[in-house]
Amino acid sequence: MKTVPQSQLARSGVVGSTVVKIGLEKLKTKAKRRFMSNEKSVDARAEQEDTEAEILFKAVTQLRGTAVKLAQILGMETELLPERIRSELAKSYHQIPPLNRVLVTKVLQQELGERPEMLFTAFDPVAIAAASLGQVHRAELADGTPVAVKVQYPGIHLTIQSDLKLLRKIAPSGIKMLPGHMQPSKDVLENSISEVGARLQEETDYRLEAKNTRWFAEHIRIDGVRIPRVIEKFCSDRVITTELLEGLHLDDWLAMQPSQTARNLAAQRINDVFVHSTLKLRRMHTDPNPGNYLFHDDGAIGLIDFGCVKVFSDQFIDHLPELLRGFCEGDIKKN
Amino acid sequence: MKISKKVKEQTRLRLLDAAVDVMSEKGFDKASMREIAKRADVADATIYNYFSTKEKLLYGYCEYVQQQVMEELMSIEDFHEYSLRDQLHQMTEVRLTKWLPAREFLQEVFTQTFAAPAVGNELLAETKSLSKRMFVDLLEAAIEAGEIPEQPYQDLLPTLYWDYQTAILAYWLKDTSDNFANTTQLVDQSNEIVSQLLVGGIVGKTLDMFSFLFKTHVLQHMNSLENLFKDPEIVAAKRRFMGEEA
Repeated sequence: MKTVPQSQLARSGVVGSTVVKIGLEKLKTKAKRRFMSNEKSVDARAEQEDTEAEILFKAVTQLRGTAVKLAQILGMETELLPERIRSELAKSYHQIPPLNRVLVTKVLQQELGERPEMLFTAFDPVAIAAASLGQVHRAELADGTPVAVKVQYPGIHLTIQSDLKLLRKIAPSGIKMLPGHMQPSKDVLENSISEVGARLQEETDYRLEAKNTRWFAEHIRIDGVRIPRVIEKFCSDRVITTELLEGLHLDDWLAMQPSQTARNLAAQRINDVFVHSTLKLRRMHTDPNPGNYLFHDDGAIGLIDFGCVKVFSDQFIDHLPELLRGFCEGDIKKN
Repeated sequence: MKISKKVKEQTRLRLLDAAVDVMSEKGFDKASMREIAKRADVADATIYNYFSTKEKLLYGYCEYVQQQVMEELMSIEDFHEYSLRDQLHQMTEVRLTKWLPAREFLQEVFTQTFAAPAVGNELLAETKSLSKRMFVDLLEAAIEAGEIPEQPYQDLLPTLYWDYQTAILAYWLKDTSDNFANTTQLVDQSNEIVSQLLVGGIVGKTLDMFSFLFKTHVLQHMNSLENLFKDPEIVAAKRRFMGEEA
């Protein structure tokens, strides 16, 4: 298991070797193709995409932080990337190699002043989920309440700036590896990187996340939508503890073959949350990756991870319906 | 009046603490035994009953830290259930935590040891052997549990590990990152390598390879070198050079 390689140079090593590796895989396939029939070459192409995707995922998970966030955003861009690469990137939602118990203990000791076994009646050193900036552990309070303890990767707040510098340098050549029609423009790239940076800086502040979680728990009052209660006593800049929501991640839930009614209900609830919070509360949960939704047996959905919240101006909200209509009708001039 | 063992131990610790304070403030060279004694509230002459030289104070504290590391590890309830990798990682982290209050003092230890390696080595012997015993203990438990294979050259490993620990401490002394985050990373990553080396028995295999290469190639070369000197032409040339008759 690895932690975040921190110096810019070390991280450039990781990304650089990925670019090189993908290049090599491409060459190998080209060399192979000459000897192969047409059908086989289609298989080989698919196989190569798989390998590329694997390599990408490995590099991304080694970098954690910034790269994971970017991967999550790209993973959602269904149109932009080949399916195989997309599905590999989608893994970054909640499957990242975990930190070992020594580091988890170290962070808890630094932040809350005690070893986990002194803080909780039970603490599972094996993480139940990983996020871009931290990982989540199951624990139990003295009164028996099961809780989720999110622990930030040590040193990650220091790596973000050097990551962004690195991404700016390396992304243009990385993008050239993509087929021509999939390459985003320079502006799109620059904007995405800046936006990711700003959001990441916000997300390293777990106090802010605790505040946001409390705010949404208070204000979103929709039947069948659950938001976990924050346990103040065990929160700090780098640790956040909330009540543990049971429930399944999207893929696992879908694998259980829920009925169409259940699917519709869940979708309706997600939509309700989105519309209600944007139009009424003027505040939006801006990290809507599938890893942040939990699906319960009784049809309820759980919202977790309020690390990233955008507050809208009244003016923007007033114009939003018009903007959306304009977008749907393809009327780009209207503003 | 006879002083109890407990009081004696307390005085010893007080002297070590005072030595850390004084040497951190003034550096090893400018710290005097008199001042350390005064800071510890001990009579000038009494300090020599405990530590006959400043060096012994310096390295006495290292031994004390090592002792604390061991006690701390033993106090972790489920430590024996950790994987070897996590155990070694925990050991390094605990060592750093125990050194933290005396970080400047550790700098003095490094400076002195590099200035006078022979003295340092002699006085560090106890600390070293304690550290090695801990490492060997963990290693043997892991071998017994089948977690790692039997390690060839087992005597060498604790020494290598000691050097690794020293390198980590040296890096930490120079680390200026927030909360020593860089050291945290280095420890995590290097510890991963160390445990992989142990799991794969790499140290033994590497040494085997080198001894094979040495035996088959270097030693053979020595033979051919010997043959070279017996070459009649060279022997003749040598004679000429020495002014003998050909």
